[in-house]
Amino acid sequence: MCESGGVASSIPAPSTIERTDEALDLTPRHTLDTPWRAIVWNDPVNLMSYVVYVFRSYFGFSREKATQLMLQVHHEGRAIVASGTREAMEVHVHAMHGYGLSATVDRAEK
Amino acid sequence: MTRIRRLGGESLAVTVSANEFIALSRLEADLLGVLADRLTALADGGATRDRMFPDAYHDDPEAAAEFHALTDVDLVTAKSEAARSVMDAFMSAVEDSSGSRWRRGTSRTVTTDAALTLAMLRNLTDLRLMVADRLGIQNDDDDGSGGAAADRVVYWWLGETQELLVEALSAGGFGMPDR
Repeated sequence: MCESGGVASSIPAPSTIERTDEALDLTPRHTLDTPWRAIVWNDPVNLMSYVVYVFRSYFGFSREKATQLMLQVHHEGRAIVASGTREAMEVHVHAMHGYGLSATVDRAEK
Repeated sequence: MTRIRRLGGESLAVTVSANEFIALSRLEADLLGVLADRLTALADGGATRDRMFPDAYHDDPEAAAEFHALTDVDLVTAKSEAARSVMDAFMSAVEDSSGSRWRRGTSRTVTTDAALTLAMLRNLTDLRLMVADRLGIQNDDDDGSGGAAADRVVYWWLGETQELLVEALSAGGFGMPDR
């Protein structure tokens, strides 16, 4: 059910490219060892059709996938709409808030 | 009721009656007030979560507060700009007296481009969130029967209008192939 959220690559840069110090400034929150998720929560206000629209237009999901996720939000109270780095998930959550949806970031590990 | 016609792509012709225009003007003014209050609360450090500004972290109050501090001004700005652009569009819209003759006054038709369509969708959402607060709507089964009748009418109208907008856009597949 998870959808890649533009996960940052963990592949090291080619050795032929000279890396600056900032490339070494990777704290654990940036690594794939601690994936994060963007979760959209059910709310009593937003229309089902609008939620499908947001999922399709923002994430580029198919009508089927967007509808399935919307129904999951509606029936189960929440759905994971993306996973990846914390930063990428925060971007998604901020975007969802911009659309008026309730969304949170959390760590995937339980 | 709002009438919506798809002109192609994400361009729509959105027609509201004179009474709907008045109702919308009031709502937008109220929304701008709510948003201004949010900025004041942010400056005072007293901003808490609400429908329009949800917490981004449920189990981490510190991260949630930090996220609000980083993003709320941006959200207020975007919401205010959407409200203004929608209001400006209807204010400067051509009045059309050939519309429904059983309605008093004249209707107004706005022709949107993709940006205004998106602004309108987001703005209608914000207006519904604001009115839902007034009506005390807390869960899916709430019909706002505890609130004012005028607010219920407005809430229904906003929902109907948004449904029509999304419907009109869905026919176009949002300008992207249906993957």
